Amino acid sequence: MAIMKVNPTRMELSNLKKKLVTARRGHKLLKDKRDELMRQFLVLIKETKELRLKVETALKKANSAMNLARIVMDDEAVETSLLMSCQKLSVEIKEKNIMSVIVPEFEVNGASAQKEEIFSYGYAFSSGELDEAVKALNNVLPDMLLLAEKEKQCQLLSSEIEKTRRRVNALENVLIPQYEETIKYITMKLEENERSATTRLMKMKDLMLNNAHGYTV
Amino acid sequence: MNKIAVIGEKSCIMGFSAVGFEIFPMSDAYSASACLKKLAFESYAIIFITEDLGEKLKDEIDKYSESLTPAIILIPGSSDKSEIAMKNIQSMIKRAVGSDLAP
Repeated sequence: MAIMKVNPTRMELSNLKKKLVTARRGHKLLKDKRDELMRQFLVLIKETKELRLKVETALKKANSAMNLARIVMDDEAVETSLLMSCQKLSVEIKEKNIMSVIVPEFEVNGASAQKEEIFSYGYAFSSGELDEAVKALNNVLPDMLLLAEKEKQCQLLSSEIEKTRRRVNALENVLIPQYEETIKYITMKLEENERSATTRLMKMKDLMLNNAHGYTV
Repeated sequence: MNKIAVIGEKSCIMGFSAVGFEIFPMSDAYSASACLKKLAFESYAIIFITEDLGEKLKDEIDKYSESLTPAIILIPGSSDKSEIAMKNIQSMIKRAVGSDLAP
């Protein structure tokens, strides 16, 4: 691992030591964050998968019922019956915080309470198949909204996990080793300087003794 | 107040209008992409889009994956069962875990 370009001084050494401590603490925290995010994500993704399967099969059924209705009735009649809807849905977005990832939670307003109210058309000119189709769609509705919420949460979580994982790896494999190497380099350089200073002093002492008294070792 | 939209072929999304979603019948990818942009800009919280259109608009949809809203969700369309949505979930797992887990 490459060492950083720094001057081998005591100042730098103490700075680097402080940085290393911070990096280690950050690494530990991020690792914990990643683990917890991962745990939550795996639970969420399992739910999402099951929900998606459920919604997809239900929608398939609703679709085939709709096709049946279109066979029995003519297209225009189907359209006019369907386009006039009596329930207007709106969602309220609430923000939820999962490990500092902001995820949306959808709350639906305006879903009609009574089962009979979902039919916006008179029964006289429509077939029973259409009723079935609309009923089937109305039944998957809550699951679809839940699926939307969960899938969005999964998306956001997965990108956050990716980021965190990268940060953890960068700290673990690049930054911390780099600091350690540099600290080692500076320590050794300083020790080397100390040793060379000692030898120089010894040499000087010899020279001075020689000059003063003609004394050689 | 935020609304819910459905984009797709007219025949398979018409039913959603009866249950209170707003439908935007689109047949080709180009107009659907324009529609998606418009809806994302307006206050639509959830946009359902049929799989065959969603596959064509993948790049557009990916743009919104990082933002809080809209949530763009694929639903099966008229065509036979395709695995795009499930693959998306798999790719999310792959992204998070860093490697592919056995399903």
